[in-house]
Amino acid sequence: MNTDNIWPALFLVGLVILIWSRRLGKTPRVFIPDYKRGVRFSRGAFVDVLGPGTHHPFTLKQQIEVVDMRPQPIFLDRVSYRDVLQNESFMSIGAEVLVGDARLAVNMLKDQIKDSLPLVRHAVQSLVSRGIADDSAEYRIKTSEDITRIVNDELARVGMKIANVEIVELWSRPGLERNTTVSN
Amino acid sequence: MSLLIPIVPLAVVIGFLILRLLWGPLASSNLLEYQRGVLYRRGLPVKDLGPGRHRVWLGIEKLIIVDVRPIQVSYENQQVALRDGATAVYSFSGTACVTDARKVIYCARNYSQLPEFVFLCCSRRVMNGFSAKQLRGGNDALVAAITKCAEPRLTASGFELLTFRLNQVSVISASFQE
Repeated sequence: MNTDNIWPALFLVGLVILIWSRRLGKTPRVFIPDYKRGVRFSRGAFVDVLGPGTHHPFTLKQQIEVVDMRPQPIFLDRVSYRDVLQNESFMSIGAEVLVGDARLAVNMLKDQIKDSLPLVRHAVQSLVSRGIADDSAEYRIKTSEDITRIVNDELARVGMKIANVEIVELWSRPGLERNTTVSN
Repeated sequence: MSLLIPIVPLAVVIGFLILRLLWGPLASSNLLEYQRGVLYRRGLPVKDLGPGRHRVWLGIEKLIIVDVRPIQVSYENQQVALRDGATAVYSFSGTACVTDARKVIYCARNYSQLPEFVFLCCSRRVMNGFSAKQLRGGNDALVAAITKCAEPRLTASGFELLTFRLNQVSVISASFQE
């Protein structure tokens, strides 16, 4: 190797690095910790879900949406309903909402937690209004399990899930039907 | 041999450029007295850091900072249904602080909301199991029961329960039996 061919080679290497660095400088570096996931799109189409690490899209055609997979505690205060015996009832629920499917959650919900709450509330109301409110510990445990199952079925459509459901308050009293006399 | 003289500094420059591209610039981050940090490298936690100056390769590392100052929670005029059907109004305040920064990062999206959630759930749950007669008897047993419920849950999430107070408890509507 002599000076005649080493200098063009070094020039070429330098040029490649320069172009590479200028190109990467235009796109932001995305750091994804182990409690988040990145949903990568290229030209607007889904490509893959990225795990923990540092990711640097090479072109502006690629975009990475970062999704937080950590649970968010929610408190549903006094979800009111009438049970099958028309007893006026309400229950308060504490639970954790989290992302189950990062791709679906990004595509279906603008605000993953806030937008999940109406679905959770509706699923809870429809479930508990089909039963009879009971103050026993067994009822609370069984209802919590049922709520987890039903709400997860509902939330799975938007890539979310619910966990650690606990009924923290339950109230029920005889409703109108019991006091109303039927007249023909 | 004569070629090495210009090549060595050039190779150093090229090597530095490649390193900078892959690892990013080296930056320093200061953690204040009331902050703790967890250093993440390539997405995984590698080190817990205390107050002071820390160097971070911006391309592959990130410092997640946790504020360990006590979190104050206060709720006024909360209503709760009691075991016998009566309704009580209560107010409470509580304080919790971070003891384990790493646990706290993973416990919730917004860790500062967790003590609030735990206090709210435990107070509502415990009071829902009390009757109006028991509530009129005094608050000590109630506070003890709520604290007993909240303490292990906060500890499991990396917090320490500092204080919990029931500022007001009054029964406002009669039970079904009455």
